[in-house]
Amino acid sequence: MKRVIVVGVGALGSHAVLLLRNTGAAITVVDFDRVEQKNVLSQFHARPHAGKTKVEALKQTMQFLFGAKIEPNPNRLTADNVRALLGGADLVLDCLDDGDARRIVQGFVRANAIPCLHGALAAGGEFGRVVWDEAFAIDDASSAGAATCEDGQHLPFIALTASCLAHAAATYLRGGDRLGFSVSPGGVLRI
Amino acid sequence: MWKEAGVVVDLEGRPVFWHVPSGSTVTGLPDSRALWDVLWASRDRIAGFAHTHPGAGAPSPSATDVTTFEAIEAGLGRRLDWWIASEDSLVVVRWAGPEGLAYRRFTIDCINEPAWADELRRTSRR
Amino acid sequence: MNDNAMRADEARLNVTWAGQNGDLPDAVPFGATEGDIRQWAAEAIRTGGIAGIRVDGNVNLRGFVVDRFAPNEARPYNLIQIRPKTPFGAK
Repeated sequence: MKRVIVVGVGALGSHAVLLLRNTGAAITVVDFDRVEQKNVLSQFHARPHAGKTKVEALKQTMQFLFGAKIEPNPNRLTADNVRALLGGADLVLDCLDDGDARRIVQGFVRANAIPCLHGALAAGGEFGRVVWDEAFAIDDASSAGAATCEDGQHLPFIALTASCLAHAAATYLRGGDRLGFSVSPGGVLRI
Repeated sequence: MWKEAGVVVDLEGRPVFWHVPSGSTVTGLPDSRALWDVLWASRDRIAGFAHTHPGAGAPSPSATDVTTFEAIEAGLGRRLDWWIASEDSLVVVRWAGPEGLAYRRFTIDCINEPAWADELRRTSRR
Repeated sequence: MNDNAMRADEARLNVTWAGQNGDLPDAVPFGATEGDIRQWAAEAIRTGGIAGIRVDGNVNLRGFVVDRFAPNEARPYNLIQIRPKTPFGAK
């Protein structure tokens, strides 16, 4: 069974996990953050789970709604633990909103030849990207997606980008093809 | 439901890695390559490792615990603090020598418990 | 050791001891027993046979476990690692 590790289950990551439930892969989610009431507007976390870690909340939600099992890992990714967190992955999905953490992920997946898809959202909902690591240059502006994701206004756009991310991951898991997408309010382009 | 959990603590008393493996049971945390990777990578910055035991009262290290303490300290080349938290108590276990498995337990008063102790207990109640 | 010359049934043996880490200079059988691996590693530490690990006549690898890894894209050879075990628990 392939193992997919999703790093960051905020707006983008939580919706991507929702849409990856039928791939047959074992999914692990990594995030140190806790659910706050405001997250419910744009993230796939339930209001009763406020206060729980996002990974535990998502695990319970996926189990309750779909009977889908995911493995929660409530840690902040650092250079000291990146091997422990990502070492067993067949595919890493980077859904972080922090440039420094993205760099740690990128350094590790490149050094260990682990396939990695990066999802990125621009603040304000101007665009989203789904890019394989070989073509991904970390741009701290596109890691500032937290601003996009707090008031719920951009939820449909977030979900569109997450769909593209999940579709790219599922396609890769099925047959190894690597799709990338550029997502804008005007539409979705293969890249 | 109670499942054993653990946390790596740094020299400033901060939790640096929550160890919540899927294979943990009410009474045990399985051997974990991932945990070893963290201990090794942060070996110069950590104070030790805390884990939970079920039940109340001052917990004692099991035989598994003590042999694990010895092995990890031998691998890292330094002595660590090993905390064990029950539902209402916290102890720290340290090597007291001279024999390899001569570890001694010290109880920590509630008012002096570090902040991560309650979080660790909450993590075990999952 | 030339990793490219390693056979498919051989492995590099990596050892951790006393805060140090290093590899045995020669390949070992990938299917070697844990007992043999523990013995070779301990002997190498005792005699200074691992670059990166100082000689230690008091080496004792009880409580150490063996991980085995098949080749991958980044490492095209088998790897065996002996490192401390990490189980904890009330029992």
